[in-house]
Amino acid sequence: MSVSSKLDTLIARALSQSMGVELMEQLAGRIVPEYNLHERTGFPQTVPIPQIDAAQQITGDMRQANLLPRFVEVLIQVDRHGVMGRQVPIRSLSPIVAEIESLGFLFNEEYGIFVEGEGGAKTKGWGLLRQGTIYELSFLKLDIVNNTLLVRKYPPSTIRRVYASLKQTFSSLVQKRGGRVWCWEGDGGLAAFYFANKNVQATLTGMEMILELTLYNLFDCPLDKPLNVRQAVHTGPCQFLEKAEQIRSDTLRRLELIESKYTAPNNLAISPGVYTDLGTKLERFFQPLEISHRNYLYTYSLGWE
Amino acid sequence: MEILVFSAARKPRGYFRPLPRKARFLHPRELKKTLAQTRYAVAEPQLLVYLDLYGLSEAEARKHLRQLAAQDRLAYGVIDPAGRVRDAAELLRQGAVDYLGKTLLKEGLGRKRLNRIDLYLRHRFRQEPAAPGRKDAVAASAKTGAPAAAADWQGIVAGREYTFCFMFIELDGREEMEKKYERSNLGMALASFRKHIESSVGSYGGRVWIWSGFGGIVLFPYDGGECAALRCGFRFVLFKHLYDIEESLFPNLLSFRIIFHLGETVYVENGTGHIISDTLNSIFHLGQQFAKAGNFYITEEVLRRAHPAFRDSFLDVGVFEGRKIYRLRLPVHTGREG
Repeated sequence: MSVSSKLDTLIARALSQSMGVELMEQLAGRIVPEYNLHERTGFPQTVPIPQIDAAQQITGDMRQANLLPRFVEVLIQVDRHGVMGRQVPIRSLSPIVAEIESLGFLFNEEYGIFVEGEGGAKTKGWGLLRQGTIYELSFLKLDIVNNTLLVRKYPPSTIRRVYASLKQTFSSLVQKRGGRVWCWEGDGGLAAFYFANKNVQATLTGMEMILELTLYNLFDCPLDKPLNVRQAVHTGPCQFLEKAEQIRSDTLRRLELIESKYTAPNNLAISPGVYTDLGTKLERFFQPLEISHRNYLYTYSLGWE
Repeated sequence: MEILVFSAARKPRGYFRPLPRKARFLHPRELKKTLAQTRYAVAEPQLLVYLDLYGLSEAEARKHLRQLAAQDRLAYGVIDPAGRVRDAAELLRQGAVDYLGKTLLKEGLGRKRLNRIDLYLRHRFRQEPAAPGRKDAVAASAKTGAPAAAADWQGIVAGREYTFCFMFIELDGREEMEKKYERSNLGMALASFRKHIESSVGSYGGRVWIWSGFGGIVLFPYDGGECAALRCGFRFVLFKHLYDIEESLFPNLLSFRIIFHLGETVYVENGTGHIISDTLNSIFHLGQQFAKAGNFYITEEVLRRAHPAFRDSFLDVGVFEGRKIYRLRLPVHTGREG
């Protein structure tokens, strides 16, 4: 993230006008463990650090580590909830938030964090997930049915056009519901959802994909027969890596199994953990599928009377 | 379909009296000028021109027939009360679509004959691209009185008659909802539903024209070819459950009726209650007297212009007010409540 010097100035001023050096150091320590101002500034341990020097040092360090939005999240939290029962109003917080939002981020009130906004860049980790850290996520996997046969039957240019349309639709539906496409290989893709109602969002995306594909097959598909896909949604812990293909995760392995082994063409299958989060309005569109004794998946598909 | 008759006599007016729409009459000397102004307004067979040979000299008759045959997209017929044409088939080979000889004229031109001509013309012009220039179409229709065709709202002027694709949409169970939740409590949900309709039809060039709380009429400008607005209605039906889950403010799952019809109306921005339009009447009657809850219907006029992919999606459900009606086979979401 490219940070303006205006943001540096605003944060440094807010810190120096809102709290003492000790609290500043404590708050910096919430982001960078064992943060030591004396070490960073070079002031001897016995010499008190002037407030403005401390504020500028912390701001500079956070900027250098690309952690300014995280630090501002801490300031917002302190402003709202105080520290150890003591209120600590942070001065000029609104212009600081506005400055960060002008960089393409949005403050998510529910999570108390900055996430990538609509107009800005869209990274796989929403500008939030840390490389190598494990998160609780929901995943939607889409796979084109009979990919090998299609590739053999149709000219490469036709296949490229069809698959590009599919990818475009998938990506826009995923992003519309706050998800991110983690990878798209020739015959399908994987999308991740992290925020509120992640199971509902992943499921609705899969359902809408079936509807959009119906329209595509009716009006635009250049193939002799309709293009078919299988989709599955599963939720669980998963490590975040920028290169999604390097991720080794039981959650993703289970998702792969649900999609490839238990999902019929043009069906969306969801795991029980996802189903229990759907709510009464949405769960009525799924029917149980017993895959082994008392082991269920839930499926959705579209038919015509 | 508008009918324009070029005749030097008064008698032909009687032949056209049985028709539901009034024919317009001009003198044959107006033919050349009118055709020059009209040629681009007939890309779709909305206009049928008749030339009455009565009172014309041989030379005049030949000249006018040549003028008519030169218009390759014009639907025209010949009125021949004196039986002057020896080979009527030759007229048809030259492009005429109708020939009214002495015997037929005695019977008069009925609606059935007009419908058969209309069907034939749909077939004939089906593969030909419609390319009406907007200004030409409006100017020509202003001269002839025929409805203009506009591809979008920029070409539409209030107070003039146009061909539109009409969509009727209304929530089902109005009385029950009002009784159960009270109208005042439904205000926000109804407003949100209207907003949903407005934004959805907008991407297909449609505009909500008449609205009364639980539903209304949407107009889509239509200038020939495929009736693309039908896809908009199809989306409403296909995606209804997602709207229910994600956006609807109604406490219950929604159900609505949709009708699509094609026809003419004078476009006005205010005072729609005073409009006299066959098409508007028909679609309201269909929506309120014929349509069953949760269903989507189209008239035969719309089906003829539907994308071929739709052909198997609609079932013939009979005739209403002399018009064939088709119902969409509804989507079934294969959950517990299918």
